[in-house]
Amino acid sequence: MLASSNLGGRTIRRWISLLVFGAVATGSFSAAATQFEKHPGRGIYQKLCSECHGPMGEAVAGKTDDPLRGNRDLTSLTRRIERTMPEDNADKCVGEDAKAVAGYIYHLFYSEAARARKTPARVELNRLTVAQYRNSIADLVLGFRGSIDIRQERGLKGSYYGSYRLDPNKKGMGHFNRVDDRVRFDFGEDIPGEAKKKLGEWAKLNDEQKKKLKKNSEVPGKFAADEFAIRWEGVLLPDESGTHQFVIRTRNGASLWVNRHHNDHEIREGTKTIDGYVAPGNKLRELQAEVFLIGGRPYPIRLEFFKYKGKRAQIELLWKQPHGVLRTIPKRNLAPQIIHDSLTVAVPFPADDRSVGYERGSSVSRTWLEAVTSGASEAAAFVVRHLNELAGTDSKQADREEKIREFGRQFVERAFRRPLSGNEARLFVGPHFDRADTVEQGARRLVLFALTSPRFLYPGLPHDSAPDQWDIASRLSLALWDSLPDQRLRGLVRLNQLKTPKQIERAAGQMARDWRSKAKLRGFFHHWLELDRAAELAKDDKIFPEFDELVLADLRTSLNLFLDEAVWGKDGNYRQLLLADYTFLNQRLGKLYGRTDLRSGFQKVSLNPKQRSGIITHPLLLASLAYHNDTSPIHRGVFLTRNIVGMSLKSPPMANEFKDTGFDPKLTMREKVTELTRAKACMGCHVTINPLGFSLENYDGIGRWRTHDKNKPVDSTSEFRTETGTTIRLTGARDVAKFAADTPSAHRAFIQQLFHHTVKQPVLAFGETTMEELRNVFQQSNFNVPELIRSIALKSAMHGWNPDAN
Amino acid sequence: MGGTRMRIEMKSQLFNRREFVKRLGVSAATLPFLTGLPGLNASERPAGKQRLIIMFSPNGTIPSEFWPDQSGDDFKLKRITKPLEAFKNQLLVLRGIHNKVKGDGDRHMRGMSCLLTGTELLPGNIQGGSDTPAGWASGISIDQELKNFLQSREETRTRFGSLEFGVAVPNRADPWTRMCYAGANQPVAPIEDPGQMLAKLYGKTVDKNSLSSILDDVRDDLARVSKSLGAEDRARLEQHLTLVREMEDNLQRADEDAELSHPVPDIDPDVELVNDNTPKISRLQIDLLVNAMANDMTRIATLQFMRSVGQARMKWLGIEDGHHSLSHESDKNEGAVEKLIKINTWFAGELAYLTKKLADTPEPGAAGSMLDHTLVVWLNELGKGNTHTLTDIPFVLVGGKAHGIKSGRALKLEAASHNQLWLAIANAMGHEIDSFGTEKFCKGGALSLS
Repeated sequence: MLASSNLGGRTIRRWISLLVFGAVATGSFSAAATQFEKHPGRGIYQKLCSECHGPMGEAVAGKTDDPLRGNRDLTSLTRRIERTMPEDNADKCVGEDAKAVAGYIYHLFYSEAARARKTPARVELNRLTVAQYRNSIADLVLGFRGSIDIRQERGLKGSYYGSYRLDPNKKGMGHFNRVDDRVRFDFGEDIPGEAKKKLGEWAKLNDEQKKKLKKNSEVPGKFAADEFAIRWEGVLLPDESGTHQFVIRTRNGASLWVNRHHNDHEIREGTKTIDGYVAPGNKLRELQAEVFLIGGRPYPIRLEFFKYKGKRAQIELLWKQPHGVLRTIPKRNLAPQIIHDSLTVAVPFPADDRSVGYERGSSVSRTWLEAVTSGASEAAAFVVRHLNELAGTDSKQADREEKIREFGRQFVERAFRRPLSGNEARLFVGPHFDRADTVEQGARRLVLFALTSPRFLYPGLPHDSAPDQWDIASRLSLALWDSLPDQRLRGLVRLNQLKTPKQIERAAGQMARDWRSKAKLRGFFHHWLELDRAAELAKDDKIFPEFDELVLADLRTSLNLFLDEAVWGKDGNYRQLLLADYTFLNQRLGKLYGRTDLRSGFQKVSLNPKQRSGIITHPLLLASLAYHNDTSPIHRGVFLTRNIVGMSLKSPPMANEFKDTGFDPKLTMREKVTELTRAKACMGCHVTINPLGFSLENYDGIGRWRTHDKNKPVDSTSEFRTETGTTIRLTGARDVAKFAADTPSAHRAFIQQLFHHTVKQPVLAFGETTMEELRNVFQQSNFNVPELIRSIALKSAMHGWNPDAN
Repeated sequence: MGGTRMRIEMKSQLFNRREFVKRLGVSAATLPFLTGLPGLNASERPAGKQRLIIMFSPNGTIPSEFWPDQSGDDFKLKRITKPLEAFKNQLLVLRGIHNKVKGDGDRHMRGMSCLLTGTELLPGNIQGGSDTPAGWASGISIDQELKNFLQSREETRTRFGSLEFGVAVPNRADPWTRMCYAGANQPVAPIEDPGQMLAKLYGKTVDKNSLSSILDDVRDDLARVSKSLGAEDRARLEQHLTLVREMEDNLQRADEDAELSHPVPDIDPDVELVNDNTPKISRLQIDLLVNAMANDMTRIATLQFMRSVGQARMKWLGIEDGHHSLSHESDKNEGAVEKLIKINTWFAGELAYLTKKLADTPEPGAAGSMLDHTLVVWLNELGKGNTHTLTDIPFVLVGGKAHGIKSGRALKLEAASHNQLWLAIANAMGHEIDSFGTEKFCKGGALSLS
């Protein structure tokens, strides 16, 4: 390793420590820059390097393409220089010279910290992202109705009636309630099986016992095949955001409400999502409708079904989620409880900027403003339609207008995430009502104003005073929920209980367990695993005939179930994500991936730890990181390098398309890739990419375990040079996973990506030490992911926070 | 109106701003969100338009106060049709038309769902007060048939083809609430919310009005909050501000550019859809209907009051009872009969309002009034409520000069079927069919109305 016995080495190290302290102390780039003039590496760099790289590593046109910037640490950078530089004579700069020049460039412009000093990262004023906009509006309105807490039980509440009128008091007719896993029934010419069972039970009861039952809203009575009805109601838990297709398959009368108010009166009068009340001719028919839903958010759902005189009875409730296939809505996406509907703005938005690697609200455009305005109109119409309910009044009350104005004030306050001053209230609330012809028109305009106002759209807008408890509440809810503070959080601020770090930590801890956090975290994993590319995945029919859209949809479910377990389960943590020896499969997937011993439905399945290791061997990921007809060690290697192992890569020096036809057909994939990337210019990066990619060669293009490629045994072993310069031997996926699970650079990469997804600001803007602090927390919490997201949210919430000022 | 100048001058004057917003709102219909504008210049269309409006009211009539005692062109209007006195010369009262459709469904269901279709109901799961259960009608209704016909020809094609208005129609779909059918098993739902209809006809004009009223508040606030920001963040908000200004300018330009031949009616889109607001809703819908026709957005419209078996409580007439219950009362119950007369007279009054509106509006691009080019048919699903008869259904035709209707008459027909009437109207509008609905009810051919 680094020889430290000579004078030069000590000098450099002393100099570095001086620099670091100096830089921190002055925080000034120019102060540091003057010290570089005396740096021992300066002369060497100017002589050997700057001709191509430029004086500040900015790259000289025609000589080199990429600026000299990167994420290697100093040792690794030194070794790289020793090995490869200068390009015409790699032996010219070795040993102490290489060390000196590496130190010079590292601290002057190469490292992230050096770059940050030059253009200091800062917390930018961003607008709400699309997801934040949709969630904020949904929660803003929901807040006037109550809150939603989803219990563990799954399925739908089914109310069975012996009369077609869904009336429990219809004389002589039976009635009972139960929880059904899903709605998929063919009753034939008979009554429902459950009703048959009940008839049997009721026959054994005396009058006294029957009376008792009525207290549980069960009414012993008639059930006959010519007439009965069932109402299913509960919660729908969508996995993905987007347009969902709902389908009722029935021979009888059936109506569906999705995300409609649960109030009985409204549900009768309100618009049905699907109206199939009239059933012509007892013929099997499919009725469908589309509804836009936000993934992870619970929505009320209700299905009413009745049979009258027709011969047969049959009903099924299906859906097609985004990236899914049409299927019966499964139990895990249903819960038997009654909740409020959520105003969900369906207006299409332009996608958020992702140019820095994560979505953030950094650009405004005409299309965006039009979408925001249309969304606000949609919300305004909703509020006016439910005005009495939201304002807690009715048409007959004398103080109705007063109550609606008070509702208006609260609406603006909650949208702006802080109380209004007297002057602000005069500016933002009253005038809308004063200028309007009717109080409804006033409310419409107030909502339109509030939701197009910069105070709603830019949650980071500074105000006159230092950050206060309202800012803490706003930042926490934005980071953890992509939304605005709820009733409980606002209550804490009003009681002055979001003041001490302990209080704030406790609040964040509670928030991190909420369904909104889970939804946000799932979004992060989809981003981290680059599942965009899995959305439209198609494989060669001849080579992978089994890989159809059903398998693809099942794999997505399987991956989501695995993530839930590995993150939120009892032993869940980041290491589990990488090292778990289990996954979730159903029969269809089991058949394809070598497990024929499964029962129906998804189940947790133990796997051979020699063959599978956590997320990196999940078939969906492996299939998405592969060609349509083969594996792709390059795609897999690049993904593992950047997202799992946490090393940076430059873009390829030349576009070198992989053309399968150009090779000897007998070559294995590994042989082809080795051949293709043999050039020295390629190997700068492929020395890292290839070993990682090759370690997944035991998985074919759809992620099945294989031992042979082109009739030759698969070789998944390789020598992998780590960032610190040590070389380790990889024999397969588990070795890569182990390496990442144990390596700080991998942890940093994970933390950084989660930070960016959560806060939507560069982590460096929160101080140079933030990353290491988070890494310590992560390690100390045994790599607990919810704990990490909580710590990240706290970091962002407490930025510029001075508890004494509050 | 000079956009920017106007804005600056009026910035702090509440009255002027309201005035400005109002003017802006009238036809701010060419905003970016809007597509498919109505024909902007109706005068360019060829003359000789023919339109059809079908108005429905439920639960039968009181024949003794509906049918004139005389027939021919010398007749006297009875109490129920008295509100139409001013248009007596435009009326054609048709007695003796029967709905002869039999089969599944009770008479209310058949009365309603076979009224415009002239054909049987499909078997189904909906049980009425008697007879066998039934489903939807098995064929297309006359309004949709004529819509398809007019839309198939370049010279009669309009943006919507047909519009279905409702007044106090309950939001449920069954054979008692639907009379329009796009085909077998395809009921067409009327729009009972004037706000929704306004949005359908004139885009999001309503929101545009509201929008223009708040945009300068947003602009002021953007400027206010920008002050405290650093240069980079301020640049973002300034970009936002520029976009808001553009939107405001677009709204103003829309006002200057868009000249509908008939401006958007100034109506309150937030009217609550409750029973007691029915008179108000009725007038709003009629205003919208005439407006849409004046702008040639459609030449076919239906206007459906309540539904068959509807239980409207017409408190505005001093009647607390539900309409359908009243209609079941015996003829000897004078109180009930009196109330039913009042109810039906009220419907006639709404028809008179519609007629007057048409008569008062000059026909765009042609001589005469819109009424000359519009045939209005008022009908009911029953003849008489308490006997549930499907005979002598109260049919009144109004206007229709351009259709060749000879009005100013009361006719007594000999057990004609209503299919024959639909044939006559189709033929009068150039649709030369010799059968509509169930063929056997077309025997005898189209009625002669000229």
